[in-house]
Amino acid sequence: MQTKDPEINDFIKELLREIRFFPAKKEIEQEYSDHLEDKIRDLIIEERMTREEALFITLEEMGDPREIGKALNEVHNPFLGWALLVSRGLLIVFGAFALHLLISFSSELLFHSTRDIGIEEDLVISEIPIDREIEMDATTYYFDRAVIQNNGEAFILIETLSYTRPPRIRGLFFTSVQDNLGNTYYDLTIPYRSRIFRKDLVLPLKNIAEEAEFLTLEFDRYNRAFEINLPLPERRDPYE
Amino acid sequence: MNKKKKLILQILLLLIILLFIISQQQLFFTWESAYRHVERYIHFGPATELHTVDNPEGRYIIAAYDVWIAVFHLDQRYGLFYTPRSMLGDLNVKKDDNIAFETVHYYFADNEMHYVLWAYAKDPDTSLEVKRSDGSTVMMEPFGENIYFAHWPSEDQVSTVAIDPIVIRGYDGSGELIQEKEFE
Repeated sequence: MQTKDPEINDFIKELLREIRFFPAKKEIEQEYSDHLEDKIRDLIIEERMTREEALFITLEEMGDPREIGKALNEVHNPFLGWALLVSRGLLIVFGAFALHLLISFSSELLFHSTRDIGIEEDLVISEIPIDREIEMDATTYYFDRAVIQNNGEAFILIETLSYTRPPRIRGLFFTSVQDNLGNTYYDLTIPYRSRIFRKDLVLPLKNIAEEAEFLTLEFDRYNRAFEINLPLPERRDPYE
Repeated sequence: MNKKKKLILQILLLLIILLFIISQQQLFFTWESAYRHVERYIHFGPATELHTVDNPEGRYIIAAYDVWIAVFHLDQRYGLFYTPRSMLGDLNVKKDDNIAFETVHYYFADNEMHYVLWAYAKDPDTSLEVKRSDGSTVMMEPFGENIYFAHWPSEDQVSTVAIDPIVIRGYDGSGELIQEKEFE
């Protein structure tokens, strides 16, 4: 900042020459320029001095600008100054990114996404509780229930809980899904609802044979195996 | 608060934020820990890592577990971290064939397609060659006793799910052709 007095400008210039941490120079320049101007104004008003006299006294009282500069340089240590500046910059960048992650994380917690899995309430003829928990590695699969519709469709609802950090759940790929008559069905689960650390899966089955009495869901892969047998209710015509 | 205290506080905050980001972004300092992470959620293993091969975006891990040999792909991120990407497939070596192999084509982020091929031969003296559609031949790199691996960028580019037709030939120790299979 330039003042109208070249003496003040020279004084500040001398002082700033001793400061090695240049981002602090502007702040120091402003501070000293204001301070000197205030002091000059006070002397003019209170002591009724001329501006030249007040300027002379003020600069005399301030002393050697280089000495002041050296003392200020100690306070504005360049290493600390740069470290603070860099860490503040990194904090802003990474903080913004972390905030973005946190918002998506909490939105998953508060407003979990649910996909319509196509259950038609008026066609449901039975809800069969399965209530079986399967633990595999870091994931627990809870087979909740099967929703059976009278149009030959069924939905097996599975809740999952993953202990991996961060949680990562892949759909279950059954080795086979078949009924007692030997008919095979779709074997891949689809995620339909995300919750914190959890994901709910559905195994949608279509065209289940009317004569079928039960379904067998078999998983046998990489030395992990389980089997779930599911009795099927007798179907009625919905328009009967 | 003096500057030193302020700096310490800022660095501590930065470390906490970085740890949060690292954990949420599935970033791992070593490829082993990234690999173990995949293993846990796909329910494979614990396998023995047989071989690692660098690729344009990270690394392939060839791992054996019981009768399966599987290939995994891990990405390298920010020059310092590894992040799990996927399991490319598994090969069951319990088959009766003299040579069992598995091949996948794989897209990298820049849409470049790569072929990854791995094989198992019952006889460790077997050598395997791959003939590509352009007529060139790639010898599969053997490692361990009887496991082989090869990968190469494809001539075919994305937009089609084209598969570079390849022929795999296996020769025994005396150079006799013992198996040949063509992919289309």
